[in-house]
Amino acid sequence: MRHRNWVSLGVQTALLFAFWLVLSGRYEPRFLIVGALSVALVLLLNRDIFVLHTVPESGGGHWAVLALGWRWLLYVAWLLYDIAVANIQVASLVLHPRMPIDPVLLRFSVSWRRGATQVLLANSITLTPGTVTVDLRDGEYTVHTLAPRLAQPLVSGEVQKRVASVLGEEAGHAPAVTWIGSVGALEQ
Amino acid sequence: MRDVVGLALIFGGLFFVLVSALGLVRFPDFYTRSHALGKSDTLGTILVLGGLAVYGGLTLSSLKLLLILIFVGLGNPTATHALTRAALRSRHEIWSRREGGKKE
Repeated sequence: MRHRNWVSLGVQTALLFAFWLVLSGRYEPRFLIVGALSVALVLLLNRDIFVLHTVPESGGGHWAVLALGWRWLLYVAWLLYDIAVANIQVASLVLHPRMPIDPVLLRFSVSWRRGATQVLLANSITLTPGTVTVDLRDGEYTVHTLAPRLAQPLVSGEVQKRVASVLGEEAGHAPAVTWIGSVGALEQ
Repeated sequence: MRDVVGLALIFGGLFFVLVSALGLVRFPDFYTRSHALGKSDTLGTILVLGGLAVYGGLTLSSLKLLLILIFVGLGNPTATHALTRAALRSRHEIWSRREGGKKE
């Protein structure tokens, strides 16, 4: 077992045990023992899927883990801000008497191969203003937007750059975006 | 003070839940409605639960509320994505003001 897997195991054990403590709310020895056994069982059952793939393989050790945590914090703060903005924009569209929406699909690709980065971008798109990820296949995203102007941060590559910086991927250039007016046109 | 902040968060959350319900009625098709649910409902729930946690103070129950809040924040966009993807794969057409789209 490599070093980063031990770090990952330690983090998971701590998180799961904290989860147990919060849910149980009792701290006599026998409850703690049952908790420890449960944590061990969960770790055993999930040993194949719970590996922290996001920790960089090459060197850095503990500092790399700390830096990763800091980038995650920045990302979460940015995401929360975006969620707030998204909601105010959607609320104004819903409450507007004429409801000025102009829904359209758009499609673009990323060059990242890692699943974690691709999923993170998909969820970020869904939570940010006026855009929902409808499909993701081999790094090709299909996004539904309420109005083209709401997808501007995607077209300029700003969202992609943020997500890339969290997980240390190549940011690349602004993506080539295709606008698609209907599902029928998507298949051609 | 805690009461005021907690109640403000709860009422703010109720506003967004209301908007999401209104959006569900007003928006023209499945995809646009999923915008209303995927976003407004997520924030609404987060604000109401967060408000309840603040209102109750730092107890075990409010820690449990915070956990629910995290799972809602992770689960809601994922569910929205799964639903819209299923719609796209069964070739459900989008509502559009443009040429080539279906009008309803």
